[in-house]
Amino acid sequence: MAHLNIVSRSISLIILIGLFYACNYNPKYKLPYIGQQTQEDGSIVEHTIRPFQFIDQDSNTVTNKTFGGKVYVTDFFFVSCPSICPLMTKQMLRLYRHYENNPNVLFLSHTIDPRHDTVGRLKRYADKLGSVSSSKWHFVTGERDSIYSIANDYFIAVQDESNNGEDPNKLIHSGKFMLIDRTGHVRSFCDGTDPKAVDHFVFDIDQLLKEKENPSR
Amino acid sequence: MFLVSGCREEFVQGRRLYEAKCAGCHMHDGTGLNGITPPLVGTERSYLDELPCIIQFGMFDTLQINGSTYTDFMLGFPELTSVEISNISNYIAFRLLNVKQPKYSPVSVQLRLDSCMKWRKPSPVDPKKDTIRMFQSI
Repeated sequence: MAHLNIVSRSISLIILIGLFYACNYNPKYKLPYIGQQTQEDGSIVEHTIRPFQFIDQDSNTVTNKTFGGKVYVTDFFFVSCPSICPLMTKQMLRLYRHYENNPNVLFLSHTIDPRHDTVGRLKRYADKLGSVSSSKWHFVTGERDSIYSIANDYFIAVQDESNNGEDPNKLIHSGKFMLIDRTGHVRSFCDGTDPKAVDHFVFDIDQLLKEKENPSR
Repeated sequence: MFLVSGCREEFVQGRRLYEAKCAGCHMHDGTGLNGITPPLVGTERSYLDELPCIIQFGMFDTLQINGSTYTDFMLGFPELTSVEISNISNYIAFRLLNVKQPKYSPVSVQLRLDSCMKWRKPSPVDPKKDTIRMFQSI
């Protein structure tokens, strides 16, 4: 009898420990820092998104300060996209609805066709999606070169062989969603055209939201 | 048994073509993207009579579906044959819409295409030059 008692006690102890770890944020499982580390003054610096400045659908200036202290999800698309953009926008809209009431999550969609995607066109696109707040989901345009160079920082492959925008079939971009943390580091990504991958991405976003603002490393 | 059931999958070419040509905008389940690409499922009005013509020649009308307005146009797919169009149409009708109606056949599709050649609106863009919303070879 005593033997059974010990077994049941140890089992319940294991379950309790399991519950404790399941309910608490465990730094062991924290998301990795993606990208190459560099050394500055003897300390290791993780890959960081460089400062940027774009214009969003309300003609407001959007910089990296807009996203300071916030977690954000970013992608690259264009309005007259003939292939995967509607799939991506649909999944992004799903994420937007999921985090609609969470002020710590923002969204940033870059157009890779700034020649055609003016502020007005981005505004119409955002309005058509239905009640999308421009302070939460920024559709941005800007100088072509700065958009294509910031894509490198996000590890997004983009290519423009459209012959000055005449053939949109040759504007090529990856369909990845990238997750950026409060201090501008890339922490996770997923295939934005795959609903199941986006389901899993939600766990990553939740995990990142549980991190302290300045994680001690 | 599994082999046989695997071979018996219906609408194989229709599904493949749908996923290559249509799903990018209308989604794999045909729900579309509200305000930007119209849904194929859950529409008030049936479009099945015009479906082969829309696939081949495109859609240039402003649409009102379930309270949303769709102003962007869709270019047709002139490269598709009547056999391929009947396969896509059957996939949309039977798999996405679950309608019970006589299937499209290549002959019936060809007859519809011949008749709508006469009344359809000319494309507002030059299909040779303007490939903007053509969904070629994804």
